Amino acid sequence: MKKIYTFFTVIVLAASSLPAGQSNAPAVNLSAIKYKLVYETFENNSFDLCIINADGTEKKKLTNTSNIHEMYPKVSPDGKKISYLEDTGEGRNRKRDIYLMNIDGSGRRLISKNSREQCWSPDGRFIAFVKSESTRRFSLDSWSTKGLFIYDLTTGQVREHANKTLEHLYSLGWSPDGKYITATVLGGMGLKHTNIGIEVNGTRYFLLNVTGCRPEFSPDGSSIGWGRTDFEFDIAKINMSRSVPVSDRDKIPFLQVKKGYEVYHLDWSPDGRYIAFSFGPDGEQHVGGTAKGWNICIAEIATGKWAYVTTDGNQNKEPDWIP
Amino acid sequence: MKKIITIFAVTAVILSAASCGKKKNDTAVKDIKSKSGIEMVFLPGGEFIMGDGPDAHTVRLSPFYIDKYEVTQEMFKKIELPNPSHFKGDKNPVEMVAWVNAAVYCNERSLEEGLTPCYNEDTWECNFDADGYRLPTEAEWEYAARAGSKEKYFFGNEQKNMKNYAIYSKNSSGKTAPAGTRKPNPWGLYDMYGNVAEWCNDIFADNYYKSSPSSDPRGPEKGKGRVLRGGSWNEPEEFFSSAMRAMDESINDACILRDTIGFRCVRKAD
Repeated sequence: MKKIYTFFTVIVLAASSLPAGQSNAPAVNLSAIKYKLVYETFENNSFDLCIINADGTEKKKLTNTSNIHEMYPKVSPDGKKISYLEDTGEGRNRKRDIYLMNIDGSGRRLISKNSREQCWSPDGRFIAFVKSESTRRFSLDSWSTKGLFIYDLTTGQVREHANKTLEHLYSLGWSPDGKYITATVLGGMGLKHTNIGIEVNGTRYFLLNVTGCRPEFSPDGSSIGWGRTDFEFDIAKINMSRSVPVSDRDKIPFLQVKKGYEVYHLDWSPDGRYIAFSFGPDGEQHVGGTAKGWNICIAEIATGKWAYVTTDGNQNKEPDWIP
Repeated sequence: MKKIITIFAVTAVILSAASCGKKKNDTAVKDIKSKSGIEMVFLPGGEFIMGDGPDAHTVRLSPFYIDKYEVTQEMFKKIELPNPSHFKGDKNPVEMVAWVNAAVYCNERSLEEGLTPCYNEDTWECNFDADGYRLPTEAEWEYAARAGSKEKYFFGNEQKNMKNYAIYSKNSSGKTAPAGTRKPNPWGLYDMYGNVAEWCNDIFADNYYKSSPSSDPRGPEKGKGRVLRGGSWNEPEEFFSSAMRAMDESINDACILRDTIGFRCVRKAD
């Protein structure tokens, strides 16, 4: 597998405007992908959530609110529900809360106030999240968080993680074996900016030996992808039981973009064959940030082929696959 | 040497006051405390030679107040802003701070003291007419750092004396130190060299001095990065001087924040 990765080591995305499902060569055949995606898009001065086929067809809005930003969708493992963020208010008085709704946009309900960066447990029973750090003023900074909390969908109860020193975590992900939560940390627990694994049922956390942002497990848990910078995705094998979960020798640069453009929000397809991501000109890629011209794209892991899913450039970000 | 420079500086200020016919208390460097108790220094307006070598040019500045110390983590916490610093310590300067978050701090501190915030948080344009806090212009920073000196350093030209005034690679132990642990410059400002490099308000342009206005220059209108001044704990002594310019593009990108960058605030005084 390493040889395949190496062969397609660096895919440089060109910055041309292309119709849905097509790209400059080589293009991936999006119509062969059976899954749908949920993502956030900016229309009429607010973010809404959309659902779309992987080939860019049958786009449909799940939310359509002019004064509420719906963002950061995370689809449950059974594909029936979406947890997402709702931002209300503006500027320093903005509020960010976690909500839950059915996959068709119905049945919305609040999960936790002043909370963000949520992810699902692999059995779909829990949602892990962090709380906003400051109650004085809102911060768009993803890392501006405190604690780690777990919401139980069965009981509706929230418990704080046993390690109360956790702070400045973002981009949470739950390992497919259910034992660990991964996160990026900035300026927390004496760490500068790195990625860690946290025992779900213990107090220990440890370095993944991965720098950058947003580690995301492949569905079988054998690999992770992450943004080494805002201009590059890397992929590597991972073994959470090793003292160094990711070896330097296993790190493969997978995708790079030209200067002036960025990639972010990597997410593995349920069959592990593709990653969805967002791509666009230099912008504020973080949740709620302005990223004009950004689109959802898909790259095939084995071949390195990639293609646009959306082409409207409406600040399309945070793609999440529906199993 | 410090005493000699201080005498020169004070003399220059007094002479300047006499020639301009201003009140003496408007033209003397003076320690003050802000409404929220933060130590600042009043710097009278005046002329100085900015830059060095072929870049040297005369600049005239209006009076302003400047923080005596780099903004500390304690100051960040006081107004409940998230502290991104790598090297934790209440008295240590805040670092890993993006330019926009330095501007946010300025606005929050302004609100805390009932002042009008300078920064538009949608465009990040600075309203220089507002009475709130902002980041220093590059010219204001160099004026404050020079403290009336014309030499390479505010303490003269002897590089060997750097250790007395700066936290830098040779004495930092690989991290920041609490603010103000070395000697101040002649105007009483600490850590103008070293500890953390300091964000300025100006957008950076390499050739800006060629076209900059002679009075209160505020930087070019467009560019990618913002000006950094003063150098940090991990730089060698060769890096430092009052005129040394640097820039960084980590204006709002969490992926490239640096534990070598902090800031201090200024406020207009006229």
